[in-house]
Formats: sequence, C-alpha cells, structure tokens
Amino acid sequence: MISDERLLEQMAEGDQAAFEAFVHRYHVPIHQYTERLLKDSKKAEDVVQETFIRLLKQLKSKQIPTYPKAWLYRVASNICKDYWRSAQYRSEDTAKEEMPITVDQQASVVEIYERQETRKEMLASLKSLSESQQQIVTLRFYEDMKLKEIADILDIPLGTVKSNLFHALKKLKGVLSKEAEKEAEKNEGTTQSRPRAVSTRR
Amino acid sequence: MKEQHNQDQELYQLEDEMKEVFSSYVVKSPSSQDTKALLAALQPTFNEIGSSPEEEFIQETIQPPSFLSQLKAQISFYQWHFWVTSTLIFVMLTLFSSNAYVTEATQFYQFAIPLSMLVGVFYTYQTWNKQMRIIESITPFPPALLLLSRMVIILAMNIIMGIIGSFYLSFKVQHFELLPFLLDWIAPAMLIYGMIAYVMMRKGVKFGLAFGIAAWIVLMVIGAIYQTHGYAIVQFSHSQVAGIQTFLVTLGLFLLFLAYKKSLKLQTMFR
Repeated sequence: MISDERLLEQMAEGDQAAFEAFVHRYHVPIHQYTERLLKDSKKAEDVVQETFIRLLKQLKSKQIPTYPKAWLYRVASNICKDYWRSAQYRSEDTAKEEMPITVDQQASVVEIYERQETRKEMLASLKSLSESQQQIVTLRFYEDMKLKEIADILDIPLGTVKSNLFHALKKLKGVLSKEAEKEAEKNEGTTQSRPRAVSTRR
Repeated sequence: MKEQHNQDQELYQLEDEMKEVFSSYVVKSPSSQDTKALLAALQPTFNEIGSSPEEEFIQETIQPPSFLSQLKAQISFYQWHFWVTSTLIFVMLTLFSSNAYVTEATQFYQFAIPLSMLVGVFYTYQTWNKQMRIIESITPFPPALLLLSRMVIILAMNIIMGIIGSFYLSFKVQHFELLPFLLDWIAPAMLIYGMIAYVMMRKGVKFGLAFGIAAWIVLMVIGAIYQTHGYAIVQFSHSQVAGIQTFLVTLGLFLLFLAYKKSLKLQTMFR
C-alpha cells in the first residue's frame, strides 16, 4: 500500500488520484473520531471538511506533514476544541443523545433496546469526562491508537496520557456502575433485569 | 520502576474491563456517497494546488564587489597602529635622508621602501589567520584576491608616502632632481612587488615572500656593484637609465596585473 507521505507528495504535485485515495483512506476514521467527540454527525462532517481543507492549504504552501495520520487527528482535535470553546457550542443544546445507531438487522427488538440503553449510559458517562480525557479515551478505544501515538497527536507527555486515561476509565467505571445499580433497583421485583453494562469485579 | 510497572498493569487491566462497554457506542460510518460529496466540496481547494504557480527560486546572481570597493573595505582591516607606525617610519626616513647627499638619499629610499613593502606583506599575511581565511573562502570574492587587495593597499601607502617624502627632499637636498629620484626607488620597489604578487599567486604566499626578499637582496647588490665598479665598465646615459627604470616599473605593474587575473580564479590560499 502506498504510504501516506507518498500520497501527500503526489497531492502536492496536483495528482487527482492521490487526492481521492487519501480522502477515501481517512474520511471514515476522522469522521467517526470527531463524531464521538462532538456527539453530532452533522458538526463532525463540518470538522472533517475543515481538517482536509487545512491539509490542502498546507500542501499548497509545499509543506508536507511528516506523520500525516497524527497530523490529521491533531488538527481535527484542535478544531473540536475550538468548537467547544465557541459561543455557538455553548448556546446549542448539546444533549445529542438521539444519535443514529448502526442497526443489526438480525438483532431482536429486545437486544436493540438494550443496546440503545447501554449506549445512552455510555454517552452520559462520557460527558462526565474532561475534553482531553474524552479525546484520549476516543483515540484509544475507537481509533485503536497506541498511547505514544495519542501523546504525539495531543502533544502531551506519555505519562500524562496514561494518568488521564487511568483516571478517565476509573471515573467511567464508577459512573456506569452507579447507573447499573440504579437500573437494578428500578427493576427490582421483576423476574429478569437487564444485564449490567460493566463488571465491577476486579 | 516497579511502581510504574504496577500502574501500567492496573491501566491495562482497567482497559480490558472497559473494552466491552465502549463497544456499545457505535457511530454512523460515512457512506461512499458521503465521501464523494466531501471530495466534491474539497475539489476547488485542491484545484488551487495545481493552479498555484510553481515556486520559483529566483537565483539571484551574486555580483562580486568591485575591486575598488574591496580596496576601500580592506583599508579598515589595518588597525590604527599600523598606519601610525608606517607614517613614523617614513617621517624618520625622510628626515634622515634630508641631511644626506642625493646619492645617499637615493640608496636609503632604494633600501627602505622595498623593505617596508615586504614587512607590510608579511604583516598582512600573518594577521590574515586561518579562521579568517575559512570565512573568506565562502565569500563571492576569491581569498587570493582579498590578499592581493591588501597588498595593493600596502603598495599604494608606500608609494604615496614615498612621493610625499620625495617632495619634501626636493626642497631640502641640494642638486635634487625629483623625477630621477622617484624612478630610482619606485622602479625596484615596483619590480619586487610585482614579483612577490606573481609568485605568490602561483606558488603560495611563503614562496612569494621568499622570492621577493631574494629579489630585493639581488637588486640591492647589483645596485651597489654598479655604483662602485659599473660606471667604469658600462656607462648609461640618464635617458637610458630612465628607460630601464620605466621598463622595470611597467614589468612590475604587468606582473601585478597577471597576479590579479590569477587571483580571480584561486579559491584557496592554504599553501
């Protein structure tokens, strides 16, 4: 497979095929990453577009990023941060809990319901994290990044990534455990309760 | 170290526990149609890359400074004590010569001015250290030409001071003829200087200096022999002597010019 760097070099020379190949390669992962951060598919698409535009402008000035993947995630992260700081974000209703979900056609109605419930809990618990913790968790679990790569993307020390991730996971575990306990209490008396999302067993 | 290892283990364990929970948060994956729409939106920006003019690095041809401007710049290279010392030497030479006969004054000048030039060249070379030469070797001006420009300054200084001294002597010394006196010391000085410069550009600084000293000694000896015994063997008329001296001055200038031409091509003086 042709490397990212080579594709960017060809793009800088105006190669249309390289441009399309690079966008196809990173559209989905960057979109999913930003959507998980912003919890808004439409806003995520805007961020993706802005990220690629910044890349093209960079190439226009003949500056090719040395590690394109990290560069893209870093730029996307920064645009998200800017959005979080913006007045637009504060004025909007950010409780985007009714997100589209990938529907498994073979899943039963009960399974789909349970999955949506767990997802709501997940979204709610993610909100309890700081912005940087959300970024680290998203990069680690959804983008399958190594800790070192995350440190490079967010431009923070590896130790900070580890400690942030550790505290974020502890917090998430705590929040989800409480949610599970509440759910269990609500369902008390019923014959069957929904399985707990998180095992508190160590 | 062990504590760090334990912390890492704890983190990895926590990650394993949470993996399943995270899998519930699925987001929509953009379709190929979405990607096409994105490409269409980005296309105008991408087209700008192709349409942007190639970055042309305008190769500005670096014009080397003229020899005259280089001479002006190199004058500042000599420190004030060099100029004061040189002036004092000439004042002393002129005052000493003013109390002598014309023939003695001529001998003093014939001896002192080429020596002053040799000392000046030696001083120039000694103060032109290796570090300076390394820096100068990357300038558009060839290092050999820099050295030559400094030598020309020495030559000009000696000639000017010598002429001023000669004018002073013309008022002080009896039976003094200015033009023959000038030719008497300028001719050997120019020849020696031309030789030093020419040999220096071909064989190196040390060889050039050695050749100059040898030429100076030979000329001095020939002059002394001619003055003591030569008149009896060959008798030159004043015009013949003037012709020979003019030829020597021309030869010296020609050698200096050849040295200048050569210095334009030399990129090192590490010899």
